[in-house]
Amino acid sequence: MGRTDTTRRRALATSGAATAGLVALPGLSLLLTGCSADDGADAARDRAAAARAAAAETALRRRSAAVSGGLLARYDAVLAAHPPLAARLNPLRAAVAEHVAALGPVAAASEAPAPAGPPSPARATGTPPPGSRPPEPAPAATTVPAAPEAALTGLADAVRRASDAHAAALTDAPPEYARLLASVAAAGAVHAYLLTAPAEGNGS
Amino acid sequence: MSVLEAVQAALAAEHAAVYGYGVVGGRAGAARRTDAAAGLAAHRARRDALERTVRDLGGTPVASAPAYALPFPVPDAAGAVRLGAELEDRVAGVYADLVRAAGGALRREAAVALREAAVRSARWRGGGVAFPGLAERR
Repeated sequence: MGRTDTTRRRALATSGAATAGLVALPGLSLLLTGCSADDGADAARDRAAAARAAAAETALRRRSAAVSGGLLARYDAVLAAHPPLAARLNPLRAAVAEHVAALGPVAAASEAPAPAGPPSPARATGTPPPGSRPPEPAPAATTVPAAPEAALTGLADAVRRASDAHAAALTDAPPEYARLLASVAAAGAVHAYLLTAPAEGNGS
Repeated sequence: MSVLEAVQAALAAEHAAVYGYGVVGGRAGAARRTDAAAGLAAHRARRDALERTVRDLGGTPVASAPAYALPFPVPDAAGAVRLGAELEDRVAGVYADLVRAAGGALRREAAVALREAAVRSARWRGGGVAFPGLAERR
């Protein structure tokens, strides 16, 4: 780990706190002088900011669930083409299904939540159901190589791309969701390793 | 948990991992000695970087303990492999917490450290968990 950019982080932390109305030092005098008149406006601004943050998190949750959803479809395509790989792939596929469920919008969200489970067959074939946005990295008309080893390699590449996408998304995510994204990204790195490691690992 | 507290927790876990890898290396056997040496080197590097980060944040880095109680007896190579996986799981947990507490470059670096710990854990164990570093979901 390199020396980290603490100055920038402190600046970010301060501006974040100010946005939340916790430490509004530069605006303190304004608040004190214009208190009664601005109360309502401040509250409205806070509510608007909270609504924007919630909408941004919901959008991020949808995008992230779509990334892992596309990967799940890829697992299904490989499994359909290579049934003998099931023993090796099923545990990883199950983990990815858990990721999709955990990453998706929470049920209490004001908007209609996207299905958190495995993607529908329509989506798996690359045709999104009407009204829904297609997953960000379109699961490029998944053609599965005929050779099992090549299929595994291609799957590992897709796993790495999804892992990288989650890792990139966590920078601007809310704290708890960033933690989840980091874990899912780490699981992807583990899966890529397991998909490319010798079938039985190096034993113990 | 403040950023500094989370960094100190990660540093304490890295101190423990460096100590634990000494045990792992002593018992792992020839087949896994390379993994043990690589893990030890990685945790030393992370420890040193975290000490710098604590100082950058205005803190005093937590010191390592003279010795640590092992989570279970490690009499042989199989025990060493289990300990290696356990050490990595604990480190993964503190880095997941650091991702939550920190922002910017420190958050990204914590995510990288979590990923590396998860992969090393899987190398020891021969398999992974669905949510590395998240004890509440595992």
